[in-house]
Amino acid sequence: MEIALTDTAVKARLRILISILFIEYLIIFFSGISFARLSSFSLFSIGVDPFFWLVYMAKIPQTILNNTWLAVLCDAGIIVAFMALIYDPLKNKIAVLLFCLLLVFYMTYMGLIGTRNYMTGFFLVLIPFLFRATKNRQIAFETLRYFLLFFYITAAIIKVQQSAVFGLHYFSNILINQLTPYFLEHNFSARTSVNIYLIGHPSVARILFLCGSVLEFIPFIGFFTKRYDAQLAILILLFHFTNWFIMDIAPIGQIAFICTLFFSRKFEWKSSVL
Amino acid sequence: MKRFFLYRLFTSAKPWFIFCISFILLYGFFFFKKMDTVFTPYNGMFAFVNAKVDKTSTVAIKLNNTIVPYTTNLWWKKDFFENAIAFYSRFMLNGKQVPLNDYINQKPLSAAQKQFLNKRLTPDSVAVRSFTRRLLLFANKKTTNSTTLEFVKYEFTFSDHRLLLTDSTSLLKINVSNGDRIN
Repeated sequence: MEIALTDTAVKARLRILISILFIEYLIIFFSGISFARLSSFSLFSIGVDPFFWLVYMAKIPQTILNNTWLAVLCDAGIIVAFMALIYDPLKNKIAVLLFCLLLVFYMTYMGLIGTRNYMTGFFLVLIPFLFRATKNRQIAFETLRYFLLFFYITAAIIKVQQSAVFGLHYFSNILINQLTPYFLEHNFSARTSVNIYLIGHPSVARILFLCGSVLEFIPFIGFFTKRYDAQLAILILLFHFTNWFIMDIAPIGQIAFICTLFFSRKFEWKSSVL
Repeated sequence: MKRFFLYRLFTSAKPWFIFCISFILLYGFFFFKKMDTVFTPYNGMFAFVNAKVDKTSTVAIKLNNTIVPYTTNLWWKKDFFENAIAFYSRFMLNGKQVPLNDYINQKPLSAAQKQFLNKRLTPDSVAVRSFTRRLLLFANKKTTNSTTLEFVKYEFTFSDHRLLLTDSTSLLKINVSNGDRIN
């Protein structure tokens, strides 16, 4: 039997998810990053990536950044679309618009900093909202859930495959590069003290790195059961917030994506096979 | 078996099954082509082992001989400064080329195709002239016609449980008003 996604309770949960994403966007916006604030920056670098090539070939980020009015319009469009989607999370046309705007925003920002970060969840979380039919939306949620699990598990597997988890000095070597600008600017805090301690104590750093890799691998359980999804979400969030403190890699942009695990049983697709 | 997601898709939602199988195959293709970051830019992060190091470096900008600070900004903006400053200095020192220029130019394509791809996928070096002025504006710093911005590489060494500043090298100086390199 399918769970009807029009139920008020389910709608409320969808609203919570969109609201978390909206809060993340507002944190990014008020910290000073938006289309308008980035307008007129014309130096970008993209990698060998067919998806980025398509968007840049169409000159979408370049056009937005070269026209301040268009950049402001896109920012306003994102905020209005967020509010409309919170009001009615089942309006898939609004979700399509928001997905496109956030995707372009992510690609524009990554092009400008000349690198890639892992916060693809920033737009991926909207994929289930793109579908109108209840069945498709539920399948999309479940597909996204498996992708999220895969996303973290492969990170742990590659670390084992590359023997990164076994090297004594490996994590210390990473940490020495993480907070350098803070030391240069004499912006000292508990984080810089912990950083120095871990660089000087590679065996402790290695234990932390191993714990991090185990946390990344634990979502493997999710391939067999949905019973522990909430606990998995908490563990992944714990992993990210620890990373933020120790490595200065903030999870803003990824939190809503992880939070889908809290709702996975509510949005579950019950096929006729079961 | 009946509980497997792909099996359920196969029996109840064929288009989704085809999509998921295509995605898995496409991901496998990208993975073996060493383009594994296409769908999941995260999974290769911090996975590659380096030799033991006790040195590190960072690039900062100096305005009127004073470092322009950025670490008090929140993550995305701080990340922007950190990466964009290092990226711009590499771009200028590399003859105003980004890595994709080299990639496109070494491909067996016609001159017209290379020109088209370079124009669309790499930055316009004339437009980039405004970068330093825009960067200072982004850092809430006022500029004049005589403003010069210096890009300096600072090297640190870890010794005696401290990170010590051991060296600094001026990478380039830029006249902010026209974006020209001074040295």
